Amino acid sequence: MFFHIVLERNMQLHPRHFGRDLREKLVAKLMKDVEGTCSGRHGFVVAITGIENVGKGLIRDGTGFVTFPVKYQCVVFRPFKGEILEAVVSMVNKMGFFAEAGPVQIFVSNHLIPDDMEFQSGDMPNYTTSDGSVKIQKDSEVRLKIIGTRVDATEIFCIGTIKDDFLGVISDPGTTS
Amino acid sequence: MGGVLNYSGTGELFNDDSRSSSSSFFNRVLPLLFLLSIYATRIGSRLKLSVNMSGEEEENAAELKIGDEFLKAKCLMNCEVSLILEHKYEQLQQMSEDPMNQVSQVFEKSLQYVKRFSRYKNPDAVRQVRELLSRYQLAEFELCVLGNLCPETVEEAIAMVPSIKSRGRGHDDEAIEKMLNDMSLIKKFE
Repeated sequence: MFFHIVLERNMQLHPRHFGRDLREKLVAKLMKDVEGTCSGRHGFVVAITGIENVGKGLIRDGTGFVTFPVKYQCVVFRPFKGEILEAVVSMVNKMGFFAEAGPVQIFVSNHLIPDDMEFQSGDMPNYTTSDGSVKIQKDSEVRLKIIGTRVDATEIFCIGTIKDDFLGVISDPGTTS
Repeated sequence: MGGVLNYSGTGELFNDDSRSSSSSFFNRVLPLLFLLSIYATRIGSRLKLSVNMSGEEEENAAELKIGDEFLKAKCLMNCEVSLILEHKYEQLQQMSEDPMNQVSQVFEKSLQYVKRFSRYKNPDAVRQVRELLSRYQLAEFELCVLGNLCPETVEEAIAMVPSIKSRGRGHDDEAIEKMLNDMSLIKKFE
């Protein structure tokens, strides 16, 4: 799920930036530093949308650097256990398939794919029901439920399932198991 | 965990000295250390467990356990994110010719994703949906799940947002059905 939250960060700025456009420099550096990062607690920082306030700077002993506490609003993407969302299938193999929901990768193991769907190899590997009415392959859109998350320093990785009511390939009501 | 480290350290020693006369010593000490390390790991995991139980409860979006910070935060539907990101992308486009070079991979992927999965394209419709859903005393998170997935039936809505029923807010099936109907109407007329 995407959230709009306020975060705080201490920004260090080199003295050569002090001047009329100090604030712009600070904001530009903040965007460069923060956008695209990921933390386990807040998820992926997608975009900074505004600056709440810039606190008083503090000169660091020994260096000329000044630390500013900056409060900023941003859009973050944070997946949760138990959350249901839509995703695009990016890879299919006999172990299951990978899907992407924005910046996050979700793996759905073949144990968590309905039992009536069989893996079919070929140049377009896919999972298909025995009657061929439902097919999961690369670029399919699926609705899945996240059942586990693993948090890395720079990435969040999720495990999902489509073995539940109202989950599975989108725009095909027959997929519900 | 300390115990495990300890064990692997001794394992190396054991390999180095296995041919020397002190091998019997290591033969005797090693099992002991091994037991110790298992014990230490157990204590460690128990400690971790207790921390888990006393501190943050395990998250589960189905029961709306997403942590206080996110529960109070403003949630965004995919269509709203799409509006925000496209606006930002346009701003970047004005500043430089090749904005795709400027944005992070996370931004790019998110933009593609929300464009693909936006149920409502028109900004007015987006506003109407939020207004409509906010009349039903939903938590932000529930509101956005409904707005993103647009369930068609009451059963589907409850399957997508199980907490809608459990919190005793007097959401009977009729109220949910009316809400879903209104949502599909907005979609139809945007």
